[in-house]
Amino acid sequence: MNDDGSVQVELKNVGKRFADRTVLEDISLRVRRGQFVALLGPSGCGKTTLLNILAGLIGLGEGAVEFDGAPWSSRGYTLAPERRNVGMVFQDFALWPHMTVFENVAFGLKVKKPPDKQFRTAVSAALEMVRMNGYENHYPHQLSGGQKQRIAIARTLAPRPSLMLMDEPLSNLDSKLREQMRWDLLNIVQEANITTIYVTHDQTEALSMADHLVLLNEGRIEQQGAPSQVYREPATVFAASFLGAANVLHGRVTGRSGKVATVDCLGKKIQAISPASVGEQLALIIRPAEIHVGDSRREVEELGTRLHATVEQRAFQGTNWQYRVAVDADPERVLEVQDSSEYPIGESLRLWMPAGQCRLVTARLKG
Amino acid sequence: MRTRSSNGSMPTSPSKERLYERARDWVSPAAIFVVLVVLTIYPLGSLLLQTIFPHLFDPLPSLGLSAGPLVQTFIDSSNLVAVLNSASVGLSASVLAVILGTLTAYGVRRAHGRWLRVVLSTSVWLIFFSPSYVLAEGWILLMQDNGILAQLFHLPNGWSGWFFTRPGLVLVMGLRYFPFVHLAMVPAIGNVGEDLFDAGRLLGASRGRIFQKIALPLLAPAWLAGASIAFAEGFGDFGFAAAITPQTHIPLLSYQIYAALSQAPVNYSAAAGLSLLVVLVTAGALWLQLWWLRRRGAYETLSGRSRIGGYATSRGRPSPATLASLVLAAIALLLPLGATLWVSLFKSLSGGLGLSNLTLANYGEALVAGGGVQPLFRSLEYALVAAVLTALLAVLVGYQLVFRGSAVNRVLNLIVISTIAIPGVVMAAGFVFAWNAVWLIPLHLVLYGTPICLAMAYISGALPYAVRLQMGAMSQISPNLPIAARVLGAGQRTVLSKIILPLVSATAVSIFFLSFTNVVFELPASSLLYPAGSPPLPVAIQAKFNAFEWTQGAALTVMGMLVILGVYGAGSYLAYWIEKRRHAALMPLPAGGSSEPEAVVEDRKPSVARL
Repeated sequence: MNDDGSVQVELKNVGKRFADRTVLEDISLRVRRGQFVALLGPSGCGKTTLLNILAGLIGLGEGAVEFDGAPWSSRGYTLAPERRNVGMVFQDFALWPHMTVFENVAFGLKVKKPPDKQFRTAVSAALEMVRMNGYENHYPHQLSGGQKQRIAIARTLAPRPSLMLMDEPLSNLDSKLREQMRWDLLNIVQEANITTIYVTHDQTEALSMADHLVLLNEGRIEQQGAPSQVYREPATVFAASFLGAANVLHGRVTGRSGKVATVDCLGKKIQAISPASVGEQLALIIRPAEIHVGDSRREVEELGTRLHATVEQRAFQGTNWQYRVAVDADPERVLEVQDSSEYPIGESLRLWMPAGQCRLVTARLKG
Repeated sequence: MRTRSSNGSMPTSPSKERLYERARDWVSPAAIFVVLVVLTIYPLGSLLLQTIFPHLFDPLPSLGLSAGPLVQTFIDSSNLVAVLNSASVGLSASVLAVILGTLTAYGVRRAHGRWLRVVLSTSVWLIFFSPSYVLAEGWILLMQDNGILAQLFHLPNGWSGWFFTRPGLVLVMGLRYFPFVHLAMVPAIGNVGEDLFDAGRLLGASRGRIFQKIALPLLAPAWLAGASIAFAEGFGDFGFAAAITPQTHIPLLSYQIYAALSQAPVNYSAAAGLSLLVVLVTAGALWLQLWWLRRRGAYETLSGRSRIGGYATSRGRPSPATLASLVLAAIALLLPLGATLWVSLFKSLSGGLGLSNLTLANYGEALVAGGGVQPLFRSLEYALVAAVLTALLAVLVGYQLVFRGSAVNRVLNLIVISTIAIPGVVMAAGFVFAWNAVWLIPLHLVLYGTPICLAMAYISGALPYAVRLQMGAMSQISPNLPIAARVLGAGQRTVLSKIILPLVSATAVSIFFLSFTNVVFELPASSLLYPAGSPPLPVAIQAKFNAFEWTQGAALTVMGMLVILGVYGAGSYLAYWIEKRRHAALMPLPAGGSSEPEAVVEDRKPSVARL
């Protein structure tokens, strides 16, 4: 993907209110040319509102949006959507039912009135890109879900938009097709080399497709960065729990030795590599897959905490087993653990929590 | 600082661009607002102002405040009697309409077989659409001395004296207005599932208790809605008043308004005061219904259960409710319309029912010698113009209200909703004030007495319903369809013409034909606003009946209805053809059309954005 590093879209302290409800607050974001940015968050976090502001469909209350340095939106001013040269792909495809595939894809080109031959070539190229040549005379109703979404993407790509906006484009497809379309979509976007902003509530989509992930919660940016970084180093309890299962243990820092802090939680003293000060009330986060079961060699090789627990519940998940275990057989102190081995309910396990995988964040829990 | 606009076109300064964007956003709602002001706000406002400033419309207007003429209007015993008559007759008729409408709604639900349901439903819809004065004249032809029934059963003069009294008026009005209750009750009965009654039975409740505690509270909103509309319609109805008042000598409020504006000198104060009362009572009835619903708290009776109160499906003998409904529909529809058709073929009204008294000459006489041909064609012209403009305006207003966000949308919506409840005679009276005002003389805008004024009144009457219908159709369209076009660079005009209009064309065609048929038989505006010497069809029909030319009046009515049926049939076929063409295009291909399994979950996400 052509990512020359220059900033193409810039959001400066964007805010939006609907009546007495704050939907977006202090959103600042820089999107580089050719980048694929995912806006991820739960329902009602403001991601679709942000996308609509970028499309020019609604105005903003505070801040500004700039494209290549030119003003797009500011308080009291919104450049009309038809003057922005953006493309948008919708959750419900939004294909016009009374138009054929050709007419749907040609619409954006016809509006700009290019020479006849040129626009036919452009329609053909867009359909080629989504591998839908030969469907020109079909109506949307005659297509399957995946085909409809491909046509919707072709319609968006045909006029060569400067920015492509996608509003949960895969959420109306079944899980199998969604997985296939994820790969296809990524291919198409990379081939088209268009800056893309992709809204989703599905962390798998966001983590697997984006170059840059923006996690939204209650109208604010909770965390942003490369997907792997946000996943591995969640800055908040919300970021940790929204991006996949995580054990969140609340406790107080009672001591430290060099880089290692000791936290009182689960009735244990758990070690974590963190600059936290003694006395701080924090949340300790560790993902189930990062807790090791029965591997005593690690206890010698790395810093960490050893725990004893009993299997309370279990669930087979294909490649792994998911366990809920009670620390010291106390049902009030429960952890989630993942392991490829099968253990029966009631089995005693020896667990190892590596200090490097235990992250300490502020205890505030959002969302 | 000067910047290049993002589409790469000519450079403009940001402030100019902002001004342009803002101005463009206001053009459409402002234009619609002006149209609604001209068609509804100004006439109604004039009416209201007249009640407060009684000399506003004098040759020398003055802004002197006075309640005197208004008080005088309601001290006048004939006005007071008319108000009480309208209230008591309207209330009684709405009670009767509730009983009859509930019966026919159950009749339709209990009807075995599709055809029985179609016959019953079509009959109710025909009554719903039939103009009041056409039904009223039919009842008169049937019931009067020497009328159809008198000749059929050799009844003496005076046999139907009871009919031309208050109970008779309540009866025919109840038979006219029960479709309002029926149309509210049919879905309500459908939504109250059998499971709800079964749950009560299983818990040991008696039938009476189930009716009192389950059926009554769940069906009450529909009853109340139907009853309040029936009352509002009855209270302000001009058709019955115009047709039956001269026969029954029961003055009704709407006829008093007409009389106040038709007498010489014109009594503007009385017309305005009485019109205001009609508006207040009508709005009050509808508000009372809403207030009751709010007080009780809204709840849904719909659920995802398998056994909703659906239509009866098994074959067998029709249920008593269905049979009674069929008889009722026949009485309400076939008796008055049949009487009109029969009388239109009589050589003379008192000439007996034999074949020797039948002729088609009335049609020729009514059209040629009786001068009916010009009113007929005049009404068709009015209907054509008004229906085209109404259908067009409905698309524009509907698009503005459904798809475009604007600060004035709430105001526009309020105007459209509130004017639905304004009776035709009141709106027509408003037009008399508004477009005959002295301040319009220097502007050369005195439209009263011109075809333009009458056409505007027709549009004003049809527009609120048309807009609601079009809004219903547009709200079925995914909001993302126009948004997709906008982000691809289409302006509002392109979105409307290329995306929205093709999708609501069938509704636009239906609105055209509904408005067309409505205008051909529209009486109140026609009576009060027709240009001197150029009466439209409803005025010509009324004139025939008022002159006791029963056969010619009936012939003109039948001809008007035949034209309407012809036009409506053509319109229905056109709408069907458009839909069929669209469906044919949307049908799945027989083979090779789709290489993947259908995997769409129909879950349209409404966008918060508006255009």
